[in-house]
Amino acid sequence: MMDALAPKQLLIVEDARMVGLHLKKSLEYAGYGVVGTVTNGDDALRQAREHTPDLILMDIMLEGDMDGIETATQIREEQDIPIIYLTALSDVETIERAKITGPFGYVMKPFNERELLTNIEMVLHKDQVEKQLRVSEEKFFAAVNSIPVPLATLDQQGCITFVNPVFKNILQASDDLAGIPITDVIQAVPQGTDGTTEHTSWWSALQSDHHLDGAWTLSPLLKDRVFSDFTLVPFQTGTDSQAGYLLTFRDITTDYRNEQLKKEIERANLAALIEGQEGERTRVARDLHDSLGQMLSGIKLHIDTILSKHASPEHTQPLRQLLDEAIQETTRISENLIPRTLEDLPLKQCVQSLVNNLAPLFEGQIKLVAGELAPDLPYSQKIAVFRIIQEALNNAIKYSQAETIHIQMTLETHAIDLTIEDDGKGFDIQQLQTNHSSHGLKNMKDRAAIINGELTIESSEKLGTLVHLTAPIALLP
Amino acid sequence: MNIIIADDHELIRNGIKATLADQEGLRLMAEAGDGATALQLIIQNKPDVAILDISMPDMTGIEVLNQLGEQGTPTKIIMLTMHSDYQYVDKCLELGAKGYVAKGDAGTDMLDAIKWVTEGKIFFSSTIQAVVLENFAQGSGKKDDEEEEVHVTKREKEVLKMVGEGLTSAQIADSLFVSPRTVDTHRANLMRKLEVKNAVELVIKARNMKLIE
Repeated sequence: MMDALAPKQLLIVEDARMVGLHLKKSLEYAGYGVVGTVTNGDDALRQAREHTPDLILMDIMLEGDMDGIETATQIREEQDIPIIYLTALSDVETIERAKITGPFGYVMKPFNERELLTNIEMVLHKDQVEKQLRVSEEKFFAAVNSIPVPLATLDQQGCITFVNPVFKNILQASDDLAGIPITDVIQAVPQGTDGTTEHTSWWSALQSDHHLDGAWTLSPLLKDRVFSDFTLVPFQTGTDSQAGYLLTFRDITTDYRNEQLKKEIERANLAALIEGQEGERTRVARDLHDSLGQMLSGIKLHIDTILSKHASPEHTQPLRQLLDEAIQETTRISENLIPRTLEDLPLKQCVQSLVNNLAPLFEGQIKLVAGELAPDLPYSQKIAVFRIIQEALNNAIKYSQAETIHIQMTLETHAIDLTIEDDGKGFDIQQLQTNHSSHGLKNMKDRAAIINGELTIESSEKLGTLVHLTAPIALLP
Repeated sequence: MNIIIADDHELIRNGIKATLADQEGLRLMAEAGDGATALQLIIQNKPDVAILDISMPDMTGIEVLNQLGEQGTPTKIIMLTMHSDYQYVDKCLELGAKGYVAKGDAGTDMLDAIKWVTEGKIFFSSTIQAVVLENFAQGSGKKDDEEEEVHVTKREKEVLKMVGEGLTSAQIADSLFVSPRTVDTHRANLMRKLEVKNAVELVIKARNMKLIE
């Protein structure tokens, strides 16, 4: 930027030498610098290139091939220098021609000095303001264009007025998007839905909340990418209190995929941990039941056979009773580790057996409603579902003071839908979750997570407690 | 009377053999240490009685029983097992077993078991009799109980009432503070229990049954 206090440098282009000289003197007297006074277009171009004056006073009638308008046109093509035409011509046609060159002013000859100086001052000031404006505008657009987030401005009706290159790039738009309604360009639906399910529309939600997080898919074309953090900011200009909106959002595909991957790894780790434990329990239970238990049974069998021939029953009774108790104890420990039914019988029978075993501990009724399904669940899924039922039943029996506990189970081709519902006094879920004693709840949630299921627990004083599990199931053939 | 024994524990097989020894009219034809062999031996030899363990390698006693049932074997099957859970007893009887003997009872009850099943009667060893009686007392082992009255839970009753008032699943979910997914499950369970196909039938039947007004 030029020093504001230094005199402004002017170039005079005037074919009448006397007029030129007079002008020079007057201007210098008024405090301007004059870089030159020339009489033809070629000299004017040369001087303009050499000195880059702050302003050119241009006569329309010149010596040589070019007139003032042609000269001005060429100068303006090369440099951004304001031009004031000085002319005796006032016919409409000439002024129309001169207009095309974007002049800053006209001064008609003969002119008075005051008028000329006022004109020069005004043009110089206007030029300076416009140059500053242009610089700041350029800076603004350079900034907007280099922002690495998608950005669009919309008018009040939601039609696009401007988009930055990132926005265009993301939407793979080759055409100018200006004037198109934003809802034609972006049809966002929550990630994981296909857009046919009922949901509040993206645009109306954004208009009312001004911010949307969560994970969204922008349109069927971009279904592999995930977006979030939509922000709609109303903006105003000096004259318009509600000029339009600024819209930004974020491409979170990488974060989202990483998060999904992390969750899947966590789930797999949890599954490995829990399934490892259950595998170990199964092994120990089997050893107890099948090896130790069988040995004890074998011993009793032999003793029964031998002693029945060689001893009276009253002598053998204590030994037999002891062996019976040892067999029962072995079975009990084994069953506590993991019920053997899970390996041999369908889920419904396993749950029925659990219900029968727990019934004596409960004053109310336990009702099991489950459809028969010929193919059974894979062992690890069966254990997960069984453990959830076991946990929910134990909780209901211990704490609910219910009269009835309902277990309802539907096994469909690819999904299980399970509810365990009591009509007891309910509990405060929030309180239990913040409490460290919620191990049982976490256990149920973990079991559900490892089979990719969804488990919810609802409880109220009025309606009792409900544990609800839905999970995809890979049925055995 | 020809008998086959199948058990993967030699100790048990020997014990049974000792029990059967010296018994007039009883002859041990063959013995097997796994399920698959047992199945083959029974099919080939058609013994009068087969004593089958449940937990065996290759094929469980339950699977052997299932296969034999499909082939219509004349052999009477006695299950000899460590499992005294009622569900096992129930399953085996359903698949055609005639006797069920807990291993701990075998020394005293096996001869009776053979006698009973050959006479065409069902036999339970002493431990199993207790289990069956207890289950009978609980009344939960009844299988042909489809006509039992419909039990509707508290939450299901609330859902029924609101379905009757014409509310959508989403509206019901909001007023019960549960997810629409849970409301859908309640509706599905209700429709199954009331044996109806849609919401209209559900409301009509619920009114007829005086479950709602």
